[in-house]
Amino acid sequence: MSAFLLRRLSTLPLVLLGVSIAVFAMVRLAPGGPAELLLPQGANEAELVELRRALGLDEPVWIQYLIWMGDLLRGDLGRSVFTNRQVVGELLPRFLASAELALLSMTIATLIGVVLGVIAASNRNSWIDRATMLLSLVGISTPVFWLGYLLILMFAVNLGWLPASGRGTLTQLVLPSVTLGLAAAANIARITRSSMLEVLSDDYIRTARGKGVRERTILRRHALQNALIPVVTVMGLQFGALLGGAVLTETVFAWPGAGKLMVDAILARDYPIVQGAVLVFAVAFTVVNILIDLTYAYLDPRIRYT
Amino acid sequence: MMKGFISRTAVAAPAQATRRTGVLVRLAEDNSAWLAGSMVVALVGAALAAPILAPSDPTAIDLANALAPPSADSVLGRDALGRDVLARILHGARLSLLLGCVTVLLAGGLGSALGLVAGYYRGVPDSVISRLTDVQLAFPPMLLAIAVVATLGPGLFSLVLAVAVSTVPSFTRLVRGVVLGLATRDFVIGAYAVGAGAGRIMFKHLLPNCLAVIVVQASLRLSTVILTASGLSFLGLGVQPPMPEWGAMLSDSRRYLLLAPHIPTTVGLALLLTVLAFNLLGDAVRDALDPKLAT
Repeated sequence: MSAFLLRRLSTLPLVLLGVSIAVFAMVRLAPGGPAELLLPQGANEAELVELRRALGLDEPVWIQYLIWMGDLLRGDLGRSVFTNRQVVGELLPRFLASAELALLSMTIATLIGVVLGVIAASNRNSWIDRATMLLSLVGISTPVFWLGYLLILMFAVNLGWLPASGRGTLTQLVLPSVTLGLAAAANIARITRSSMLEVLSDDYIRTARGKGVRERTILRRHALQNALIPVVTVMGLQFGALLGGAVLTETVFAWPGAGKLMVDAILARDYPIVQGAVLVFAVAFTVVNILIDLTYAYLDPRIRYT
Repeated sequence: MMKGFISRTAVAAPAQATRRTGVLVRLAEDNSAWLAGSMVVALVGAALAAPILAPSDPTAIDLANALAPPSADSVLGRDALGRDVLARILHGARLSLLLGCVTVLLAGGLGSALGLVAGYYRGVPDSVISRLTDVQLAFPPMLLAIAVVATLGPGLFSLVLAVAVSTVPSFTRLVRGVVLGLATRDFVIGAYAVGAGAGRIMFKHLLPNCLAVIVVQASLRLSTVILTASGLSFLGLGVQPPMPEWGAMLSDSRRYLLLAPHIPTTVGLALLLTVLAFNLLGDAVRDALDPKLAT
């Protein structure tokens, strides 16, 4: 366990360093430097030079990076250009809203995906299998923002059962999380199916059948437990896709999450907010992936000792 | 070396021949490949013939008929500025296919080249390329694309670059892995022995053997790339109005969701069918080229 853990964790500092450099570079590479972005249109040259000095932009780039990194380590991501509030303070409530959406969606996706995958695998090559797989392929191909529109049209406009936007009540959580969850469920269903098919052809399943174990017990106890291990590994990728989808879903449902904050900030050229959001998204994604790898090692002893 | 020579002429050559015909036979026997193929052909045909098929100019404004429902005059109705929705969907197909192909070519070319260099030279180039890829993969793909657009500013050029950057790592990893596996094979060692240079070994010997996986990856990526590009345009970060892009059209129709639900419905359906066609095609190509992966 410790060797695998160490190897996995040893890549972390380098990746985080790379991420921080990339996020730092975002503003430096933007057309018109950071100082030009802050000043109102028509500011004169003297004001620009003054602001550059005030921001430390006259220092060499690597010193600027070290200063930025030092602030970052103290939890200071700068201030929003527009509200002048601390970026951390602006981001935190928005990230909690995104996390709420992501967690519920991931739960929905896993439940639906695993159930559909098992049903398809245990009815291999029947019409049930074909229909489930076609459905999941359509699910993978569906633009998440369009699915959001369809659900709004159906459940908010036509039936009037659920609110179409906003956050606050539980009912407002339903449509966004189902939208986001269905997209990920399609992928999980496909992976679960192929993993189940592989496991079902293993010798120990034949042995269990030979012993006369009931098919339901074989599926649930013998096959599913082992088939879920590869499913867990792709959860990390799924989570990444989910975060990307969350940006779109939040925009469709006016969900006040970090994704919507980020997009609004890009359109307003509020770079400190964009940097902060991108950084936190990347770190969250990296940490979740490591947690998933550790779970994988815990579930599958073969990984721990090789 | 003798053993390698024999295995190359006696075994490898016939295997190559059967594999080639095998791919076409398997594709022809696959029902979903036929479905995918006809969908893609119809799509490309519609995109190419858009100026002829479209009932009117996709940017022609006709405010008197704003948000007109489908009728004999305009089969799929008109948008908020009275522009013909069918004309915009057809021209949108052009844009999406073109963007998708350019992006995949760019990402596939760059990613494969990086993978080839990393796998061939190993050592320092491999470390540098692999660590860069690790950093790229630390961002969820969509967010990496968003970050690139945030840096360069919204627009067509940054859209292609952004989606390409988020797609490069998948090619790099894949090609690097294949090249590492090929490095110890007899035909590569033989090429070394007769004094072939690095460029010759990479492009004449290694690259052709990676082409199958690159083609599979490219066809699988095409659908993702089209979806990501339309997502960015939906967020206002990609193709800008008045260009008829599906994502941008969907974003635009949000305000009139109640008045004109036929617009988002039909536009989204076009996008869904396009992505579905390329997903089916990607799966079929993968199953045909690599039967081991078929389930």
